[in-house]
Amino acid sequence: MIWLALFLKVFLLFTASANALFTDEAFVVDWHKQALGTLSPSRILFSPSSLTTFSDSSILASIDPSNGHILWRHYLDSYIAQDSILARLDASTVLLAAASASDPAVTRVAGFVEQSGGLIWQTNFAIGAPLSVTTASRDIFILASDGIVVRLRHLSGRVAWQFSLDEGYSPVAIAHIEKTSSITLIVRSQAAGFGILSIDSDTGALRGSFIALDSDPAALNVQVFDELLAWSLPGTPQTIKIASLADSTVRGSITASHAYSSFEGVSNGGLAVAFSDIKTSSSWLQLYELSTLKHLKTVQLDLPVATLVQDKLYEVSASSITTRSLAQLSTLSEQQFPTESELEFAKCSSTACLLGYTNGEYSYVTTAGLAWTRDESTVGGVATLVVDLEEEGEETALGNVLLEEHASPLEAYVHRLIRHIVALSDLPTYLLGFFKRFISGNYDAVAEQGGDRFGFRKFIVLATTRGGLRALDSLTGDAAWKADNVFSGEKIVGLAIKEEQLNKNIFVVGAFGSLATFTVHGDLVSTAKLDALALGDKVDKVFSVPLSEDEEALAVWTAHGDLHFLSTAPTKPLFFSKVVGDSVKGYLYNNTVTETYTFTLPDGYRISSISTRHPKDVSVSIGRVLGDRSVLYKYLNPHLLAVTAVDLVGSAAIFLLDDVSGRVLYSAYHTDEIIDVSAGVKVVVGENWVVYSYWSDLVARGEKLVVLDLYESDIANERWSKTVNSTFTATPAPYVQSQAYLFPTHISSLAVTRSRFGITNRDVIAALDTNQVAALPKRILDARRPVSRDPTNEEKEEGLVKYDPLITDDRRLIISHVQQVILGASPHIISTPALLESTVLVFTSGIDLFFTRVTPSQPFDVLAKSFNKGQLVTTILALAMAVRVVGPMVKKKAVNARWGST
Amino acid sequence: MQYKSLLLFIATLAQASAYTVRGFLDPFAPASSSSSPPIPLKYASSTEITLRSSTESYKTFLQAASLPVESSDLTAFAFVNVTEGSYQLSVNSINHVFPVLRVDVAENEVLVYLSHRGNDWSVTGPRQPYPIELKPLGMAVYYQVREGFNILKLFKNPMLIISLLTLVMVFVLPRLMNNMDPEQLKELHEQQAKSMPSVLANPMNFDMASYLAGKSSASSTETAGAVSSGASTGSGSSSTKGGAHSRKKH
Repeated sequence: MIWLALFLKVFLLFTASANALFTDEAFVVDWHKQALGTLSPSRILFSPSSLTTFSDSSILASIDPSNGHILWRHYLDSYIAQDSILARLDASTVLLAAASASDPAVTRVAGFVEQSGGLIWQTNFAIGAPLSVTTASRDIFILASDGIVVRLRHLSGRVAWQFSLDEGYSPVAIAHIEKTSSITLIVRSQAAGFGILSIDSDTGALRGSFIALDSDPAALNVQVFDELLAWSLPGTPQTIKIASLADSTVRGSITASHAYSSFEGVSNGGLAVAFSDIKTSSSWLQLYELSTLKHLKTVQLDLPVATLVQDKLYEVSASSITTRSLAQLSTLSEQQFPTESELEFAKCSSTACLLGYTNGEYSYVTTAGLAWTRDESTVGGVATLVVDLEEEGEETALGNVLLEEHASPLEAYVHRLIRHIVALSDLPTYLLGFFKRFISGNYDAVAEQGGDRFGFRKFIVLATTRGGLRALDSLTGDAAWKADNVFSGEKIVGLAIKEEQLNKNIFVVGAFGSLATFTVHGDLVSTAKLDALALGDKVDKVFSVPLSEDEEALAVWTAHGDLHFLSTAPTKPLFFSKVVGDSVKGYLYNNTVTETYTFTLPDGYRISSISTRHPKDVSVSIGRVLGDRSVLYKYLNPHLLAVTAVDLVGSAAIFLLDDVSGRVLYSAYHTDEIIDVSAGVKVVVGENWVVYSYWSDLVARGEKLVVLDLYESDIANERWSKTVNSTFTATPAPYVQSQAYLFPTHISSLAVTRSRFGITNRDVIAALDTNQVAALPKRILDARRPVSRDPTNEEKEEGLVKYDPLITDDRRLIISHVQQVILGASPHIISTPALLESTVLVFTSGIDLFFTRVTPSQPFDVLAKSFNKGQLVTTILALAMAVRVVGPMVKKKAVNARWGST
Repeated sequence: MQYKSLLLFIATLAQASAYTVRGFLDPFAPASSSSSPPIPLKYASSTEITLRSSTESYKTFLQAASLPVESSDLTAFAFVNVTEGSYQLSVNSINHVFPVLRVDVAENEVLVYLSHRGNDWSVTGPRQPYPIELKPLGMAVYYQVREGFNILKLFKNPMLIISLLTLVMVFVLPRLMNNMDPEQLKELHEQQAKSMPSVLANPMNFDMASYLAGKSSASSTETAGAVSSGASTGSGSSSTKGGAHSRKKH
């Protein structure tokens, strides 16, 4: 049991330092929004108890149809969603077939239990991407792009047989006809045209030969309705040819009455084909006799989209659904629901419809009306920023104080008197609230109506991939306001914020230089479209450069490398840098842009990640006081740029640059390791330190976290930045101390907490591959921890503990606790200070959204939740009683001592 | 066992240099004693099992261990088409903590070892059985428990017990003594002097240093003498008080 002992030892070492969440804080200080990503109508399965879908973000999920909550989710990042098929295996199981992300020539197939999410089996085939799937006698038949058909056993996933198409035939679709017990392959051949092949479903042997249905192989819109095959030819899309798969004969053709964008058909008794046209927003139904294809009638429908399910016709618009019976065309039910969104698709079952909107929202409508709505637009957000909200009344209070300070004494006195008398009217409510709080002991500022005194409430503004904005209230995670389709079709590429007194202007930049502002003051005040930047080019990047203390310039890079300023161009010369391919380029703006330097990586290396210190991060002390009261001065360079790189053979490198001068301040290579190149190197720049991490196979396997602490000099009390504060003066290179640690799980992204005044310690926030978010105290990642010896008394005074390379697998470091936060391949972490110095708000996005409050140095400036007012009052009362009782006794004793009577 | 039988029919499609790695999570928590019945464990379907090296990465989910799959507990897992190599196998479970294993997939053989984090990868831990059997180390603890005010806990505090006892001795004992019949009291004192060890009779005079030094017998007789003389002159504790006062006066 050595390993157990080892585990325990490591566990106990940091138990004291773990700053875990309290049970009563979980789900109170944090919120988590589970997301699915964009849903595709072809990958949605309905059942009475669930709605199963495989989203474009590779999330296989089952949704409770009654309330829209997620029953279970699997993040299948090794399955390419765009090349996948979701099909029903039987009443309670589903099948997913998809091209593998690591090798697109491989199809991965897996069966899942619909209710629990349990895997039934999983298998791989090197057959190309899956094209079409059908099920028959409980087994699965998969047609793949390499022209291979496999039959899989339903219970085991084992291959029953495999069939390969002959050379010259390319696969289109697969169908199963119950009458004939054969599998029909719809194929095309340049020589023989478009037609079908039959294979025996039991043996996989070819039955008969190729039957041509059309001499032109370029058939389009190929669809199978029950036993009918429909297709059209490129030049004549309105003529739809129909063939029967049961007897492999062409039945004839039908003609669409107008141009259409899509059609659907059902054949039970007769043939009904519903056409929809996006351009004209119209839909119509054409009815035919089944055997002769005789046209019966054409019915023009009222709503833009028509879809057929068994014997029902659904007419759908963005805000209403009309259900009709197909036989009589009588209206069965009608649902109306308010929406401002544009309809993208409608997918219906026999009882309900899922509507997809262009803004990324989805609605589920049953015969009882709108059941629920999900907003999936926040997945893979383009840009994120945090808007601080002023405390209510702060503005008027400030105005009053200013007025009273500047007015004549008498006027100021009268003003104040009136103000106080007016304020008296609030006294009863205040007193009531005071006693209420006193009695209940509930001092949670957020829950109280007294407003957000601690600055926990902010707007998190996300630009969606659908060209919209979502402002999330950081207290609940719900959208406080939203805007859809800001630039009517143009994608958003960047967000920037500019504060003008109490108003906050959010600049939204479109992909082609369109500009809009959203003015926020407490809530959204106004929106305005500004004149587009005359770029004549695509926008590459939006960034801001600090000009002075509280002023910054917002700038845009175009794809061809031109620089444009969003609001006003700065008058001072500006230095900045940009990553171009695998090099870092420095620029000087002085009315025109000139390139100053180019930092190129060594041969074979490519940039993995970059990081700079947050421009608003504050340092409260410029040095680190050592045990002997001497000071190591921190290397606080605001232009520090950390660049990490990997090469193909598995080496990593880090370069610390001064991004104004291009000087390399420090570099390190990890060539004796085998690094997971696909995961890359993650990096974050804190105050005077850099932390980066990478997964390495050698020598000790694991995620390695390296910390670099930068000081001005290795000699205590030596400080040159007192006299030199220009990046262009030759200064000694920073003294870098480094240490490496082994972290238990893969890290996908790193960030650092930022408190209001920078007094609070910093935590390194890490998004983990285990779908969790961890907070590591920087105190653990300290490059000064003594190696292979106990700390001396002086080092103990400095707060150093003995170096231990293993960071414990302590789940109390996990700030997302029991929640499974799926952040995907590129998680985005933002930390922003609250008004309380102790508290930092952390927001992560990617696929899910997760928000929490962390206190890296404990919540030292608020009363702890465990503070018991009743206990305090009782203690004081008890002490008062004791004084009253003991007082006379002591007095009596003192008198007796003086006067000797016993 | 049931899960073993299911493992047998978990799919494999043999391909060149690609193997299937199978295993299961222990469906029972280790019993605290041999007589107590094992506690069945339920694993969430979100539990992921990963097999990773720097170049390859495989992820799988828990499978049903028995039929029908809809109602079976999820304990088994299998990785398909694993290429040869040395991997780290870890279980990503929200509720349970599992050991990390080293899985070496070689030609016709899968070797499983316990891995010791932080050690050279060439140093392998003890060999583990194949199919892989993973026992949870315990439940994952995410939270700190807030220690609220607890009156019972307060009385468990030794400092409080000592101070309360002292209070009792200071306030209650003298009164009890005073309320006693003077003759009875005298008897009691005499009895105490005879039977009780002197140290307990008058703990104020206990000489800790000499007691520890092993001179207990000699000093105790001395103190015993002193106490007995004191007891005979006065009456009860009020007399010792009087003695203290008189000493002060000198």
